[in-house]
Amino acid sequence: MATGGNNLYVPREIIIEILRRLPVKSLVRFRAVCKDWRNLLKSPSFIKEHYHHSTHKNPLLVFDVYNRNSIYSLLCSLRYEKETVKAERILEMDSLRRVRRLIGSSNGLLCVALDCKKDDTA
Amino acid sequence: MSSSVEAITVLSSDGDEFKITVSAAKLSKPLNWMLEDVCFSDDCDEVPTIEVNSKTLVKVIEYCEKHAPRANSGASDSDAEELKKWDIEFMKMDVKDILFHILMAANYLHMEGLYDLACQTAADLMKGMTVSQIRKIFHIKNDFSSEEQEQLRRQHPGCSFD
Repeated sequence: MATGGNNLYVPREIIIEILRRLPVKSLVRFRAVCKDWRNLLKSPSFIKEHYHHSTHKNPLLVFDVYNRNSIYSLLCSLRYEKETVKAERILEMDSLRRVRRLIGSSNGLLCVALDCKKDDTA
Repeated sequence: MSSSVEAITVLSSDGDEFKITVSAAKLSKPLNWMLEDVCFSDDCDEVPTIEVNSKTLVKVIEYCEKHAPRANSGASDSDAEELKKWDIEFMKMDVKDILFHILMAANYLHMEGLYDLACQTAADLMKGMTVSQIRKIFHIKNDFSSEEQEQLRRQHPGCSFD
């Protein structure tokens, strides 16, 4: 007879495959599951794989806020630089307001060109 | 010859018979090999067994039949969009009971598309779960001592043991 999901043993490689698709916030929480997960989730190889997977699947980056009073942030795709997506405004990213151009990125670090007009620095 | 038949019969691990069209079976590498190796003509009574239970196999075949036309002939953007919507509906099954079975079947049958879809569905489901919920679905025992838990909590304020 078919066994229900309750008795199913999921192999480690499949668990890793699922964990690679989880957001970082969940992964930090799941370090507390058991020692094996803690060691896995903090291993450089897993972190590297996770990073590659998430940038490949979701290469979006908060890049600019056009309007000071705008309730939206604009997300700019790293793969197709012309493509922007409206997203809910992320207050922490307001410091990027003066960003005028994305020069490049590496492992999540950005190199940007800022607009240095005086009236913009308030 | 196998090329003369349009559908083949396979057995589930529970011993039930299922029909799957040749074009749908080609989505799985092992099934494709079977098609080449095993005689599927009418005068051959050998029915290959797939080590997947009936309940799961029904879903896997449903997925294959839906995706086969696109895999075999390519598709327009609107088809791809329609298929994406279908995938979302398809994954709205009794996930806790069957999702992991689908995942393992997709892995065993080398079905990249279904494997990816099932992994993503599992991840979407798990991301909001608590640590104790995760332990429950994977049957994991908390093997941290209370000192270790305290240390982990200090290092990662986001960590929760509940």
